[in-house]
Parts: sequence; C-alpha cells; structure tokens
Amino acid sequence: MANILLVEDEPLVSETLASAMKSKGHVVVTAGNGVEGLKRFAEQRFDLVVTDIIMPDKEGIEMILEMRRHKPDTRIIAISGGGRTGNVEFLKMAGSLGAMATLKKPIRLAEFLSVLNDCLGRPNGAPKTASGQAG
Amino acid sequence: MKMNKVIVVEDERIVALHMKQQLLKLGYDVVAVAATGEKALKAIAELHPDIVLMDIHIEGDMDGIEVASRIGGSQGTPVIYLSAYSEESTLERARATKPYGYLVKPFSERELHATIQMALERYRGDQALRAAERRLEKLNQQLQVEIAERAKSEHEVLRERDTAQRYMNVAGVVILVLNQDGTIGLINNHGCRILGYADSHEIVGKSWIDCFIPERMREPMHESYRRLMDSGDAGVELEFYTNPVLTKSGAERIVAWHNSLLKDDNGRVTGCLSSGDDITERLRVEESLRSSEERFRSIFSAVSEGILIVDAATGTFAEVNEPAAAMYGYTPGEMVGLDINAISSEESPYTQTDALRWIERAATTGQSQQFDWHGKRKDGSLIWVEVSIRFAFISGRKVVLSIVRDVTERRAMEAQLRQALKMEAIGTLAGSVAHELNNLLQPILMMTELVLTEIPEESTHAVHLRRVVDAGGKAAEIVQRILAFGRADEGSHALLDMAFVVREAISFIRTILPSSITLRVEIDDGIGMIQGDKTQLTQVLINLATNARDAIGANVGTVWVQLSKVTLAAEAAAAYAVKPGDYALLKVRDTGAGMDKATAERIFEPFFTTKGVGKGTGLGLSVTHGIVAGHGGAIQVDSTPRQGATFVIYLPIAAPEVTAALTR
Repeated sequence: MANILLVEDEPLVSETLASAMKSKGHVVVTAGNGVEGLKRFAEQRFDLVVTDIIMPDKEGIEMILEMRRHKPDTRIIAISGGGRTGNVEFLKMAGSLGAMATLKKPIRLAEFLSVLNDCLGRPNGAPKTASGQAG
Repeated sequence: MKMNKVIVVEDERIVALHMKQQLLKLGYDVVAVAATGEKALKAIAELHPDIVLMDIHIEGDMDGIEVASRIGGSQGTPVIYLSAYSEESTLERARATKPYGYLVKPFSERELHATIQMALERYRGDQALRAAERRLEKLNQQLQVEIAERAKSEHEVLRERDTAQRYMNVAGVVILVLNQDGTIGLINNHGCRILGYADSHEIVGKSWIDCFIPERMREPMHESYRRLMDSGDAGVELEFYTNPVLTKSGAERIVAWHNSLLKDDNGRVTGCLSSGDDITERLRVEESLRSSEERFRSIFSAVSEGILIVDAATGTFAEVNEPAAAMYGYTPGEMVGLDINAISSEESPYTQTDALRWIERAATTGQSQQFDWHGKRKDGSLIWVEVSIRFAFISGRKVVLSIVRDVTERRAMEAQLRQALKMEAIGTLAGSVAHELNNLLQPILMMTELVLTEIPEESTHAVHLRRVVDAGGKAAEIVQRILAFGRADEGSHALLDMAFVVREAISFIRTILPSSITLRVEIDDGIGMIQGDKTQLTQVLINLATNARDAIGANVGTVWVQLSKVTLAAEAAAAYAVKPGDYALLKVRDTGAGMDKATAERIFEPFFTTKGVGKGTGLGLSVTHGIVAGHGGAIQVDSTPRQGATFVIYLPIAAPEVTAALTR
C-alpha cells in the first residue's frame, strides 16, 4: 500500500527485492542508478526509498543527500553488497546521513519485511541501524 | 902467436912436400896434407884449418873445386887454389866457389906467403863483416818484433779503448768521470742524453757541481766532493748517493749514483768515477703507486661498507676491512686466510663452488657482478648479504674486490611486506568475490523465501525449498567470513584495556584446554588503551588458543600468552603495512606440531586449512587476520616444524588525545 522507490543497479537483486515488496501489496518503482533514482524521486511522492549505497561513483550517498535536501523527511533504507571497498564505512555514513535502517546483502525475507514495516510505521525520526550479520 | 893452421891438398907428393917445407918455414902450421878430395874433406872437418891450399887437379872423383864448394866458400874455410894451368871453364867454376886466392904454379915463396896472408886477412875481414851483418840482421829482427809488438799493443790499446768506449756508450747508465778539481773529465752518451745534450763537448771540462747540480744543493755538494777527494775513501755515505741533476732545459732529474775514487799509481786521488741511474720515472711511479695505495687504504678503512679482498689465486681472503669483519663477527685479522666457504651457509647455491662461478663470470665479462648471498657468521648464525664483486689489481696482485652489505633485516622486512601485501591482495580479491556472491545470494535466498510463503508449509516443494534456503544461508555466512578476512567489520570502537581483555579471554581459554597443556600468562599492565571491539579481540584470542591446543593435540604441551608494549619504527612498521608508533604486542606461543615455511606463508588465507576434511573451515585464522587488520594492526606467525608456533599480534595503542577524548 506504500509507494516505494527502489534504487538498485543489480537487476536480479532489484527484481528480488521488488517481488518481496510487491508481495506485500506495495507499489514499487525501480531505478538503476542514482541519477535515475533522483529523476523518479522528483516525479512523484514516495513513502519510502530503498537504495543500494554502493553503486558506481558513490552515487548512492550523493543521491541520499539530494533526496534529504529536497524532502528532509524522506524515509530511506540503505542496503549494501557487503563487498568491495569500505562497505562498512558507507553503511555508517548512510546511517549518519539519515538512513533509517541499513541492511547488508543478502537480505533475508523476514528481516526485510520486518524492517520495511518498521520504517513505514514511523515518521523519519532517529535512524535505527539494522543488525547486520554478526562478524 | 897463434900459428895459422894450413891444410895442403895436393896429389903430387913432391910438390906437396916442398910446399909443406915452405909453409913451415914461413911459420905456418901445416896440420895435414891430403892427396884426394875425400881425405881433404875429412882432414878439414877434423882439423879445422884456418886456410886450405887446394890444388885444382887432384886424384879421385873430386877435383879441388869440388872440394872447395863442399867446404862452404866464403862462409866456410878460406881456400886458395893452386893450379898449373887452367881452362877458362875451370876458372869459371873456380871463381864460383869464391876462393880467397889463386896461385899459379910455379909460384915463389914470397907469392905463397903474400897470397896466404892476404887471404887470411880478407877472410878475417869477411868474417867480421859477416858477423856484423849477422848482428845487424838480429838487431833488425828484434826491431821488427818490437815494432810488431808495439803495433799490436797499440792496436790492443786502441781496441780496448774502443771497446771501453763502446761499453760506456752502450751502457744504460750514466758514466761520469770527474777530475780532482770537480770538472768533468768524461761523460758517456747516455749521460749526455739524460742531461739533454747531443754530445759531450758542451759538458766535458765544465764544473759538474756548478753547471749540472741545482743551485740549492751546490754548497753541500762541493763540500761532499772536497771531502771525497781528501779522504781517499768513498765511505758508505758517499759511495751511494742520490741527487737531482740539472738538464739543459733546466728541468731536474733524479739520479742514483755509485761513486768510486780514481787513484794514480801512487795512491793519490785523481778524481771520481760515477755510474748513475736515472730514477726520476721510477720515483714518479713509486710515488704515484704509494699515493694510490694510500688513497686505497684510507677508503678501505673509512667506508662503512664491508670490503673483502679475495686473492684470485688462492680463493682466500687477503684483506678485510673493519665493517666487513664485524658483519661476520670476526676481527679483520681472523678473517685473513679464510675461504669463502667459511663465511657461507654452504647450502646450494651458496657454496664456494657457486661463489667461484660468480667470480668466473666477473672474469669473463669484465663486469662487476651483483647478487645476494646467504652468509655465515663466526658463531654460525646466518645472515643475508648483498654482494658486488669485480676484479682489480691491488698492490700488484690480481684480486677479487667484493663489497658487501648486510641486508638480513631488509630482506626480513621485504618478506613481511610481501606477505602483508599478499594478504591485502587476497583480501581485495575476496572482497570482490564476496560482493558478487552476495548479489547472487540475494535472489537465491529471497526468491525462494517468497515462494515458500506461497506454498503449503508441509508440501514436498516446501521441504525442498527450505533446504535451498538453508544452503543459501550457510553460503551467505561463508561469504561473510570471507569478507571478515580483508578489512573486517569494524565493530565498536570502545577504548579497551588490553590487559583486561586478555585476562578475561584467558579465563575462558582455561576451560577449553585439556590438563595436558600448561598455560602460562605474562601480562604487562602499563601498556595503555587500545581502540577496538572487545568481542572481536576476544574472538581472536580464543581462535589462537584453539589452534594452539589443536597443534599440541594429545601430547603434553605448553601455551604461552604474553602481552607487552612495543614501538614500531618507520621501517618495521612499513614492513607490516601499518603506521609507526606504539603497539600492544600480543604473543601466543605453543609447543605443538609447528608448521613449515610454505604453510606459514598461507596460514591466514581463507579456506586454507591444515586440518582434515570436515574438521575446520580454514576460516578461523583468516577471520582473526581480518579483525587484527580492521583494528589497524598486524599479525605474524613464526614457526619451525616440530618446534611449535608463535603468533604475534600488534595492535595500535590509542594516542593519548584519543584516550583523553574518549574518556571524557
């Protein structure tokens, strides 16, 4: 029932997450990168943005900043691939930039849906970091 | 008065007798009368008459002329012929025998006497003349001989003089003769050349000292020369003397002289004969050799690099400088005579034979060779040295000059750095793989989970799909661990008292160690705080303790855990790929099975395990590595098979400002 913008550059991952969200009746708009994401974001109102933060050229972070500038109360969930460089830093950064939750791939269905509900259920208050997998 | 002996040769007896009477009356001594030639000859030979009166025509085979010819004419006994009558031819013959008289019969007593007297007179005269002639002849011969000898000796003298001259001029030394007054009596060609003159005419006669000795030396040399002339004995100091001489151009050359005095027959000194060697060049060469030797020496002793000089012939050390000797734990003196084997590890390719191959390469290519060498110190410990060798001539000897630098530490650090970089590379690779896998696990897991929500829980499909999800979940866990290897999940950043963390971990570790293993703990309390995640660090300690336990296995053994503080300087820190500064040093040592070099190099790699299949994922140490790296530290292992292993961990100690800030 919510309008959700999903920004994710990996097609399979995008499809998977979209399917999960759609299975709960949400409307999902997808974008393949930060630029596209911002375009979509400008076109309509979204209840939630789910975005990968490690996309080419740090787009994820910049996109978040843009969106928060536009609409400071945007709900954002940040996800990451858990690989490449500085994954952990990015998640933290995302958290400090206003993501309400951060999730590490591969995200489990139950957890995903739970975090989704939790975030939709509250206004964009203090960000709550999700539990990543234990190290 | 001596009577003249006469022999009469007459065949007519009466005549002979008559003559004999006459002769006796005249006062002659008639010693014989012969009728025949033979008898006459015999009588003459025996009686040696002063004169012979010879009748030409006598009995027998010989006539008077024949006899006369046999008794020698003017050299032998004088003969006076007696003849009654003769033909011209007979007279011819008679004249040929050079008689001293001729009497024709009949002749008077007066004629006989006169003829004999005249003949004797003449004979005597002739004798005298002949004697005089003979004397003259003899004198003449003597004169000839004398002349010949004089000519010969003059010739010899000339020849000797020529030879001497030649020797003098051929000699490669200066030959100089000085007169009593110091003027030059003689100088050979070589001498002229040395002095720069074409020949001796500009030299002979001049004062040696005043013209050919540099001004500054003239006075002392005059004195020396005077002493020499007066002393009559060259003496040791003047016999061999070296001094500079002035050449025509004004340049100086150094000549080494041997001086000997010339004396006359009375033993008086007449001058001095000197032979001299121009040693200017030799001195120059010696000087340059000496100064280059000096330069070499000062470089040899002063450099900080080690220099070893190997005698090319014997393959042993001829000279070693202080730094080189110190490198090997010897004194320079101790190293002389040692061969290359003595300071090599002697394991291929670091044996004398290998060294000789390098030397040969230097010899054939003429270029210096550089290589690393595994050397051995006096105490047997091994070092790594960087060697540079080349051939050189030192002090006239062909030697191998080698410069060595101790690179043991550098190599160790390089090895560590390589290891650190390798780990980092693996980490990066792992991270990249993990990322891909995570993306792929997303649909595998979540899509399957979605399907599960749409089908009956108990259905076979559901059962199967749950398996898929399980497997996917496990795969995700594994991928997480891989990621933990590189730069770990930083966890929290609390300030920790490492001593406290270790003590807590120890109390847990005691519970997992069997009684056969002794646990020894040494904890330094004053280290300071580190910034990190307590859970993760505890995990590290437990991981290491577990590995130590497994390495000891069923045997009796010991595990040490040590905590202290250490400072890593720039070089050492760089080798570990960490920043320089203070570090908490955590050591976990066991007396277990240990591992070889190859294993040790790979022990932190993910999935690398020495345990059997199913007994370990090989991720424990890789995770530990990741945690340590995530804390900005470094981990290292040191092990020898059968002699246990020591894991060493460096964790950066929080800077005082940070400590201060975080404790506010």
